[in-house]
Amino acid sequence: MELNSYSVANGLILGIETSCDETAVAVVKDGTSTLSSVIYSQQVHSKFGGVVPELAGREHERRILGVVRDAIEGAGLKMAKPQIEAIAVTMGPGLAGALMVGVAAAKALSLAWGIPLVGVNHLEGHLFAVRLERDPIVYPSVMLLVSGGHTMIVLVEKPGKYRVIGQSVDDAAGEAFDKVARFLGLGYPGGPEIEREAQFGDPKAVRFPRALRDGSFNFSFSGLKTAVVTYAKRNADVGVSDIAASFEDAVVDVLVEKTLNAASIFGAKSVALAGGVGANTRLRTVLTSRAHALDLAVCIPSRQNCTDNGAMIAAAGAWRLENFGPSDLALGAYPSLALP
Amino acid sequence: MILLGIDTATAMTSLGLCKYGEPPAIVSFPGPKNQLESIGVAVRQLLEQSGISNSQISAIALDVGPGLFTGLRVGVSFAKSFAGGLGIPIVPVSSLDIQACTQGNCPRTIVSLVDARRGEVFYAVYRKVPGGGVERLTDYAVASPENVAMEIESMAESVLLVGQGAIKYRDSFTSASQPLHFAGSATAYPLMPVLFEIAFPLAFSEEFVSPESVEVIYIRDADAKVNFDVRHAFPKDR
Ligand SMILES: [Zn+2]
Repeated sequence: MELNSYSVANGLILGIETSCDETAVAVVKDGTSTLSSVIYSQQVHSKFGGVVPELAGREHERRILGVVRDAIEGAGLKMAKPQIEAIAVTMGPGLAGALMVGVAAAKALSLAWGIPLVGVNHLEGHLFAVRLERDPIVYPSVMLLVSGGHTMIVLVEKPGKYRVIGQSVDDAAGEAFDKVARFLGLGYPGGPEIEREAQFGDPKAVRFPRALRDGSFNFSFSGLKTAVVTYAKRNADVGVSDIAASFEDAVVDVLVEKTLNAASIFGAKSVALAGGVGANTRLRTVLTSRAHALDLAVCIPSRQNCTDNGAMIAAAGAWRLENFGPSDLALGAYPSLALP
Repeated sequence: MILLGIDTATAMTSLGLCKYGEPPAIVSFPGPKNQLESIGVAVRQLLEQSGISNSQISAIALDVGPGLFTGLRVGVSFAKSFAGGLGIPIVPVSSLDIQACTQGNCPRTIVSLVDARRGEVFYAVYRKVPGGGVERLTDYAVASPENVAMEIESMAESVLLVGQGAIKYRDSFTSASQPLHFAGSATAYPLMPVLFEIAFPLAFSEEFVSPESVEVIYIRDADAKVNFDVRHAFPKDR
């Protein structure tokens, strides 16, 4: 098998994702259509208010084969000899012990089935999620990648050509949601909890600070978090739902404002959303309406494709395989891998 | 019958391929570093050099611990997926049993120990069975070497200690009042030929398990339950 000469025959790729606390596997055809996507969300972490690495690794190890089997059979294939062309797997960034399970499983399946292996960058996977359900994206595109671990604005000139033009200097957006939710006595994970509480509140009840004026595309959420905590302590009469709604409004405002500024400065033809926080309804709605007002195309994946999943890994893997060929069987796990 | 052997439980990683009655092909290297990088390459190399194809493998003989968490996760995840992909079962074997079996001719009580890091050892107690082999007398456990030494003292009989856990903490054990013997460093880690020796009879009598139902012998709780502090939690990547 020569580098750069590999082409996918029937186009079926298995994608494996175990970088954090989702054990996720999918079968994707031609890098764009999902035949099956199975996601096991680990429940063991909720009482700790964050993901416990050792527990995550153990859970992945326990679940991985069952999730692979469900994805294979869900695509109408058989475990014994599925007609899969290649296996794509998240090689980083993420939790070391969690990534290792996915990579080890992917290698084993690659050897057992005699098909190539391709290592995928988790962040690139998120950026490919839009290709699973939208018409071809118009490039250049400015993508907002927001999750519990990452908050970044990426200028995508074309697939594979990325430039990070802004990122969080402290907490990731999802992390800020978690911390504020914990402070407000809401559950974990914080994103969905804040969102649920916010629908009963007034987003204009409190005007929390927006760190917008530094002129860069970087984000800082720790000041906002502190402002929320200080305000809530001083104003015990203001309801949790109003505070949650106002906090969510401030986060969304900053994310959308900086994304659209970047799109205008870098001449993007479209804006796209990626990552788990992209499942937030307010973010989706506000980004869509404000981008449309600027005549920008908007690409927002379904909620399931925003959160960690195997299909996005398969989509990015299909593209990597076609353009760069398979990975070596000596592939490792790279916890702090940056976007290529 | 051909077995693929996988052992990533200790600081010595071993992969092996063995046709019953013939000498095994083995790849061993000091770990636990590079286990993930090497495991697939080593298995491919074993298959190629032995001229054995996937479809000829009957089952996987797998060391399921106790041992180092990271290595076990890599080895067990690999083994489960390889077995699942080929539709073959797994013969799970304990690291402590493998070490004890190397001393099957020893008339003394045998204590098998694996270094558990953080100042502790995994261990179990065995004795010779008339007619050959050993039997385990205790559950797999984890303790400080000092506590294991006290337990040995209470046995009031001649004891043989085997494994890297014994060698590393040798000084902690020598206070015992009864005669103590230490097995040599050649048997300090689970040996692949011994894993095969234990696994073949089990495989012949079909005492194996489906890959999904293989359970790692962790013994020690995840750090989480021991001393988890919420500030150490990672944000969910969502
Ligand atoms: Zn993610």
